[in-house]
Amino acid sequence: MIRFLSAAAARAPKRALSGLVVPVALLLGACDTIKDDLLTVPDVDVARPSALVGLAALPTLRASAISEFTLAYSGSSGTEGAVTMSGLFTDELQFAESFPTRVQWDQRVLDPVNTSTGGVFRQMLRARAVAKLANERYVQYAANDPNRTEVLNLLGLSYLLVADVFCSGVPFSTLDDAGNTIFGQPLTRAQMLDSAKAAFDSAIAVGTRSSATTQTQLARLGRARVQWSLGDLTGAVGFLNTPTPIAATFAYNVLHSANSSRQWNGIWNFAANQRRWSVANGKGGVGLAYITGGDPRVRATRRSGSSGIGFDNVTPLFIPNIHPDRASPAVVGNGVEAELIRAEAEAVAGNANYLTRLNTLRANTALYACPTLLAGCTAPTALAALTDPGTAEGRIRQVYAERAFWLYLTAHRIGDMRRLIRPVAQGGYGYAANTVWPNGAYPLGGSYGTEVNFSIPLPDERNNPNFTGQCLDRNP
Amino acid sequence: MKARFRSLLAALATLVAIPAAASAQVGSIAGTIRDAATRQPIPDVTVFVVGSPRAGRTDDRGAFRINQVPAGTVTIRAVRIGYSAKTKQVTVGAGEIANGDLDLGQSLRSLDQVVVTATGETQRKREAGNSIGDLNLANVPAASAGDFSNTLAARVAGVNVASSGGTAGTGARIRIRGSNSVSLSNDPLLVIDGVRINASSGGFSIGVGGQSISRFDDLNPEEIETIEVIKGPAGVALYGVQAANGVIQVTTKRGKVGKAKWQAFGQMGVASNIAAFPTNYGRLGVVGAGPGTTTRCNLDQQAYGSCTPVASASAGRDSLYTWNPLTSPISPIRTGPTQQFGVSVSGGSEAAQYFIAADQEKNQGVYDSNRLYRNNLRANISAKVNEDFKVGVQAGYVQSRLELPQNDNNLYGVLGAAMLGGAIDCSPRTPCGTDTLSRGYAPGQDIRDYVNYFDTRQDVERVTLSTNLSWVPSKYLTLTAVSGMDQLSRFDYQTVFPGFIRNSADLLAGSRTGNRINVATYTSNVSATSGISLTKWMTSTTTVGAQYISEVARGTFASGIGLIPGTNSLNAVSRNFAVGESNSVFNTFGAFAQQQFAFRDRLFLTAGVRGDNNSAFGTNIGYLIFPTVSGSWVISEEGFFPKQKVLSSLRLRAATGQSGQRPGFRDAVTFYSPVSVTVAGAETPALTVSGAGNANLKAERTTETEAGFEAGLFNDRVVVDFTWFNKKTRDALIAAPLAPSLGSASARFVNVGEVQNKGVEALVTAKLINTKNLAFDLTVNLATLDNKLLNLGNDDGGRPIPPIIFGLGGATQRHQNGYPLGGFWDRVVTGYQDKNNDGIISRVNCPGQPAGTGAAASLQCEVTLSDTAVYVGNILPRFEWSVLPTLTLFKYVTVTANLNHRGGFYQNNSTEGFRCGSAFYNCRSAFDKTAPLAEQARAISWWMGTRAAYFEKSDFTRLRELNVRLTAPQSLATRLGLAALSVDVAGRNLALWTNYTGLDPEVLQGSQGSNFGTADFLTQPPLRTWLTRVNITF
Repeated sequence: MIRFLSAAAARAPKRALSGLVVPVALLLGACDTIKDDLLTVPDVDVARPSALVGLAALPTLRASAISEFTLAYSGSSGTEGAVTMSGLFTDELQFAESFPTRVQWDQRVLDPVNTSTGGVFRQMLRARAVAKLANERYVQYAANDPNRTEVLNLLGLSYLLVADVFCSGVPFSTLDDAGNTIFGQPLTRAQMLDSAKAAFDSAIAVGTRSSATTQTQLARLGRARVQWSLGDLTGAVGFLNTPTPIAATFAYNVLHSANSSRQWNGIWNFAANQRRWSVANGKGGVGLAYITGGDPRVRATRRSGSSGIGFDNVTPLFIPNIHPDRASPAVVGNGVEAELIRAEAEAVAGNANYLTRLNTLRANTALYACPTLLAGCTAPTALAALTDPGTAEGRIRQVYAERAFWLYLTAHRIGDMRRLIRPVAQGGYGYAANTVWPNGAYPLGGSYGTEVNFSIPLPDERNNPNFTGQCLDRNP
Repeated sequence: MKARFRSLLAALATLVAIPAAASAQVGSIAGTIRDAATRQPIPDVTVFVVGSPRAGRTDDRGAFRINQVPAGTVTIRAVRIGYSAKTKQVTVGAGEIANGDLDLGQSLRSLDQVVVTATGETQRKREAGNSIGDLNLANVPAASAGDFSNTLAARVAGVNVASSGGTAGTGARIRIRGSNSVSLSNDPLLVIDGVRINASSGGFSIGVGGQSISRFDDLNPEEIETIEVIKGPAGVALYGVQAANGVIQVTTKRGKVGKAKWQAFGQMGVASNIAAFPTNYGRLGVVGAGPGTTTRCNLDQQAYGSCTPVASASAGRDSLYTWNPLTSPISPIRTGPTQQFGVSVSGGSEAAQYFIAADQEKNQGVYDSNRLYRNNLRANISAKVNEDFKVGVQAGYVQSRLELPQNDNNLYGVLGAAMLGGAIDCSPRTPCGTDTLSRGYAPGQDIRDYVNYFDTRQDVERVTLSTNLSWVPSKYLTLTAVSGMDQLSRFDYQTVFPGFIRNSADLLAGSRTGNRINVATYTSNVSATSGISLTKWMTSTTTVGAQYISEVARGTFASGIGLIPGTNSLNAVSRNFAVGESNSVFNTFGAFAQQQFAFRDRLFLTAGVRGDNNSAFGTNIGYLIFPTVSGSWVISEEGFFPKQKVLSSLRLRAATGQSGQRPGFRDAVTFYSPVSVTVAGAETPALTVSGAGNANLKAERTTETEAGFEAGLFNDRVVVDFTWFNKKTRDALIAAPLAPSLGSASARFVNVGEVQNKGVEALVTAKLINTKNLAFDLTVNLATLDNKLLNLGNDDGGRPIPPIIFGLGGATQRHQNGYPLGGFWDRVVTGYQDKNNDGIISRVNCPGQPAGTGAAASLQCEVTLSDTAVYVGNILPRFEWSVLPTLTLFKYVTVTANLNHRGGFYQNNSTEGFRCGSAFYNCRSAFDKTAPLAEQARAISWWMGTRAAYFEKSDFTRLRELNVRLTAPQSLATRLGLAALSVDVAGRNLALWTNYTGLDPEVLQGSQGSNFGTADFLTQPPLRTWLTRVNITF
């Protein structure tokens, strides 16, 4: 027999292997004493969670809530935002570029795995989460701080925005300070509106309802918007008028800046700067003519040369010059909206004063004056007075057309169009969808889709065990 | 703790003290090593004293000398690549010089070739239980091989080098035995002369559309002596927590004993584009009821009846327009000159040797905005303070200036502007409305503007320094210390000249970006090795050591717009200022130990272990332990092994081991990024959530087992090296998606994934003909790879993590359980038929597609798709082979080639897909009814929302290199006053055989910096290069 190793030699490697651990352990043990010096590294570029605790953190939390909401609402250099996403989905904007995910918005044929929708959805919910966190910290350290009102308003607006843009069934969850996930149940549209209502009610309470600050007026406008969404126009008007009427000149804007690309106005960026989307004109046959007539509330403008053609090298590009610059502010809510809700309530009630109200707004050129950052702008002339169309439906459509122009690119249009086709029993007007939403042949081939709200993007929300993978319903 | 430290010191002191007692009288061994057949002296032969750290190396005359050899009878062993090792017993008298003359016979076996280990020591390949791919650059023709990445390409089995494109100065994706990690880098570790080197594959901070710079290619192959590739954890455990992707270990050239030897070369050549760029199509038509006409009346619109083709505006012409800007006179693509010159000198005495080299390279791509200027300097000095104490210093310096063009996924890319552009040259022709300038994608914008008015550059200054100390206090003990640094200073900058780029108001105003980045890597490595003969037939070698590595990256970033014409500085911008800073530090501390037992110098059993801690681990994680065990048995040297010619030698080997990959900076921590927000008109600081941390995050752990053999056949004229490997990565970092409803970061890393790579590798080297006037050597290597994601794992709530979907276009690639990482997925075309015989394949009335109206209402769907996305193919080749023949005629003419085949993988031909299916549609099958129906079907499938039809099987065979070397007869060289003279004529990328229909199956739109993203999208394909090189020695 040939033996390669003696028994002793064969055991030697095994002993040696176990023996190897000793010197390594000794070395590692010796270095435990200097571990902190060896392995602790500085991280100076970011803040850790401890930066968001304590009274001193409240201003940063408030600013963070404003920042996240701004990004969710009107976007930035790289984030579309709810305004443009819903604008492309409705009749406000027209696709003029190449992104396969965003053409789905324009055509209203949505794939649940749409990364562009997912990005906006996540940002909208991040706006809500940060506002919620900020509110909790205010409650903990300075519950009566007036700045808490704005935080609560942003929380309410976040719920409202999600309810307007997305289908019923959106869950709202929480990641706590320890990193634990607390998943929320999908909320119906009514429940989302309830959440908004609670936030606005708290804001009114903190700011005291009689106060005339921007934030308390915004809280009342938000509260009115909730009632409006529920079809309760009387209740909505109550919040607008009591204790003192919100004036037509009231406005709450999110502010943009050229200071950093995150602060850019996303509406300007995607339309004027990147030439991705044009102002639409009669989109899908029934869309409103935002270009024709040069309405100063839209300021659709076609630039000369290459700037006048979309990114796709084909589509004539009309930019909405109410957002003429990356630093242009974006209106979130204003007194004109309050006046339009009053007008709608009157129109529904058969009160002819609705027309007076509309025409008073149209006559007030200060409400559509030149944007401060629009170079070479000439002062507008007053819009022509409207006449009574003579039918109840005509009056409602007239009010909503006015809303579309006055509130152009403010993320209101999707809620308006949903409400126009929502069954009367659910607080809507019950109009046929093909008389409100673009339909027929789609310019890039095929036809417009039939969706009237955004589905909840998959697959990201799929790891929420409370989420069934689909909307509770796709009703308007 | 202090007691433990004292114990450690005591142990080390004991190790040092043992040999002191063993000192004895000494002598020397000197001799000459010659070729047994030709009797010519052989330089670069290493002569060892067996069982001792003493060794010497032959000079140009084949002479060597080893001093301080203990008196008595010793065995010396002479080894050199290309020769059979030989041993000889020598009796050394005290104070005498013993004769060590030896003759070596040529052989293809490499068992006694010396390789460098992780501990900084050397070992013979026969001792290693794992496969080591090695490349001696003396055998690689420099002219045809090119840069470092290309030098590796197709030469080492299991190493896949995929060129990212044909842009000068950009890199290649290097994968060794597949991809281990879903989330972390899959780039191998680079070690030069024992020191960790930054080999980042994405080294540019300014976007140019996709291409990027690989720091691998800062290395100058002219300075390299050998490259060793340790392919996986079975062999790299002692490299620690970052070595799971394999290690590329480079040894730079060293001086040799002898008089100064000068070598110089100069090479010049030209690079040219060989890709056939497709033609743009369009058709005149009337949209709807008219009256307006369009030049883009496509087949889809015709099928739906929303557009009707009309006759051409030019009488007698068909309304189908075609134009190809890239073959027209306005094409900015031209040939690019390339040149490189270098000189080196080496030599030295027994006491000290030196190698000094300087090299200058100018390489121009096929765009005027693509240039690489690079200067390399190297000075390596080795000194012997005495027979027991040696020191080496290796210093390298790189200075480069690179200008990159705009291309790939880029609105301002030259190829994009051309290939997505119109079918009409608007300058000389109509109709283009009022636009009389457009010659490409953008109205009024000439594609040449993107070459002329974007100036994007990177300047690099890089110093690498390695010092190694070796002290042999006795024949039983060697102490080694290796330390060094890699200091990289980058300046990335871009100027867009004002007044020219009309697509963007910002760029029209001119812009300037300047980013300064410093990356430093510091390595400190100490080890002690004790070699003891336990019996006459058994020796023991023990190594213990420790390593500390610190990687520091700091950058400042600044930009602004509104540039004053004629200026080129941040000073001259007037608005939209942006500034930022980035700092990251990784520190790693590890300790290791290795024990080897050698039996009769034929059987080697080795075990090792390394413990690592790293600053990127979660706070709950301590040291991680990586073990390794290997065995190697040269069975043919056993007495029982039959002596025969067919199987003349055989070595069996096996190894198993573990290694890791550390998490990224901040992957383990929760953090918020500072941002600004405007509040009440004032810029105000705010925070945005950026990372949702995981305190339990640790390194990925990859376990590999490999086994194989090396067999010499027919008296070792043919050598076969075969390896089977199987490696599994556990605790793979997976970015577990966080539900958007949490309002937090989009994902956080958890150690839950499992990835497997397995395959076989074979290297066959053969000396088929070896006569006086004709020699023919052949090297064939082949490798297979089966890469699979075994499990994405569960999130912290116990729910399975859904497939990770990504890729160009958002959803073309997936990481999905049971399939290769990053594979191509989408709904596939399952059938098509022109049912109404109108020559158009249409989607009218297809499920999920818009219904036809009017006359189109009755049409039948002509394309069917699968209901769901299915797996189409993987991104890495499943098999690869290379043939590298060397033919020598009359000693003076040597022809070498590199023929490489890759198969079993797919490419996303997104260039054609985008041309056919996006809003830019301008391909033939979008407009021309005579286009093949299959082409029309895949074009319309893109419109139907799937890209799978453009995932193309991409098997190819490429003649990567051909080199013809003419070596001048010695008499001619001498008459010219030279020691040697040769001339190379070389070509790169000379032929491509493939059924892939895109520009090139190998390109990477996202560059090598993209871990998995793979697409052929408006990327400049690899160029063909012809070069002439003159090499002289004097």
